[in-house]
Amino acid sequence: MRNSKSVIAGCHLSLGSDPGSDPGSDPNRRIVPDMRKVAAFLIASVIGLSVLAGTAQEGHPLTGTWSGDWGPGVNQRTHITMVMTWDGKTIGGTINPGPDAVPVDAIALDVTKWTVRFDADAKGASGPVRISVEGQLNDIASAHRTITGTWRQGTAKGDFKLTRD
Amino acid sequence: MRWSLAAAAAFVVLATIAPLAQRSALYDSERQVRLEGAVTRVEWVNPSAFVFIDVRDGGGVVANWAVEIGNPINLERHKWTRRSLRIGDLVTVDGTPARGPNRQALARSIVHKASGKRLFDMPAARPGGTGRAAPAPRWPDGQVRLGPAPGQKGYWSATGTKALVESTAANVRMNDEGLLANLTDADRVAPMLPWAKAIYLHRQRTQLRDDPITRCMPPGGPRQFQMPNGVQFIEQREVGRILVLMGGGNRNWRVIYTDGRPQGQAAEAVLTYYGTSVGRWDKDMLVVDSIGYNERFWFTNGGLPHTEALHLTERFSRPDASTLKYEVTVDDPRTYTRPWTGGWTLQWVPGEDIEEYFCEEGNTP
Repeated sequence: MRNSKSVIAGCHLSLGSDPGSDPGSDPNRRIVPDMRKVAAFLIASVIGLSVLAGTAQEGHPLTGTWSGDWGPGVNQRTHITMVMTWDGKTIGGTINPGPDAVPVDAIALDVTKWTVRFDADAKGASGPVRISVEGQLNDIASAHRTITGTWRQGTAKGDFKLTRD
Repeated sequence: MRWSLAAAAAFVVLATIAPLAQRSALYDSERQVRLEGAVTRVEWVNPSAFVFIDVRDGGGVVANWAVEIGNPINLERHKWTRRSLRIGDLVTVDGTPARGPNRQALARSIVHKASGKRLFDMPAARPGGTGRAAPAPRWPDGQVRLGPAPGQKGYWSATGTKALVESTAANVRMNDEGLLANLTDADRVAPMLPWAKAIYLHRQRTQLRDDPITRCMPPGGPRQFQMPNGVQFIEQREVGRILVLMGGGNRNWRVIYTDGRPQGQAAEAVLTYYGTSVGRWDKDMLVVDSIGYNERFWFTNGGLPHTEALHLTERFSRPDASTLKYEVTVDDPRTYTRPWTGGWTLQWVPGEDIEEYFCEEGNTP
């Protein structure tokens, strides 16, 4: 068991209390992590998470990429990725960018209640399928703010949750 | 075991002390508190030092309070040192308590209980304008210097600036952090689009608690001239640029190119906290055009929003050695109904180098 070092996310973690020794040569010897490096790794992780948590988007509250899902129940969910933009006059958007993208021409945001509403037409097997969405923007100061509400697609209806990436 | 103890201690500290935040959000200025007890610890850390005291309540229960006493650099300027209070000293603290359950207060005064000697008064921010109103220093070709004259020291103090407000708005009352005394004044601060006003009011109503600067994000835009510890200009004429160094921004600096290059296209810009700046001299005024800002910061105290479309035109002039006039026109059609202009004056602090402090998230003791 020659395992004096392992690598976790780029941080080298020594597993030998005596540098240069071979822990495999003494089966009774305990493998003790180098606590300084463990601590450094933990501190770096905390700082890294703090930095990620700190990079909120402070501009228009809807712009950016959102992801989540919708469906009629917990076992029937459909993943959604949505990109929203603000040009100074209109909030535009795209549901599921890519070959099956659904453009959203106008997204309504009521800033007095932070409610969001939009309609779009998705491609269906036998023609366009109407999507109608009404939601509530929550925790507007958060980097990972959310929109929750009701998603109607054709004859189906369910709840949805989108989280800003 | 040592590590366990250290981790436990760190947890206790983090759990009992509110993280660094805007003071308006952290402390309840509507209430006052008087604390009497013995000093148990002094933490001399940036950006704010703390004294800990054991306070016994009416029922005889002792609780340890954290008393914030301000920025160590500012304290040292007022002859206060980490040894001004000793462990065991009995003191009386008058201050403002923290909101919520934290046993924390912002000191207004500390009095040595036995002698009655006043050990500490919350020092006022550094007064500006201590230099004589001598003519502005100039380069050999006659152009005004924004930095010190050769062989001298000094920097610009942001003392007295609050928040950026449209210059046509008179008597908008606010505290030093840009918190409005009256929210109905919001329309006079800047010509905001409805979404921007809603965000601004949300930030005001929540006492600016979500200010990115409390998470040590860089103070981009005009806010770099509102930071504690001031700013310094390094004019590198030989390479055609001016560096703006910030005392209160983790050794952040901004580059203003003065080599005649054109401003880039906004669509090509790599979005940053300080944008891309090109400057030119118009007689004695430096005019700086900046684009390419990201949306991760508040560009002024008080929480005015902006988008990536932000375009700033800043004008710097130095009518005398002690005064720097700063004026900025904000043009962001995605946030404001029209371009608008505001500004303030910075004061020269002669004979001193800029002093820097380093913000670390949650770096209370």
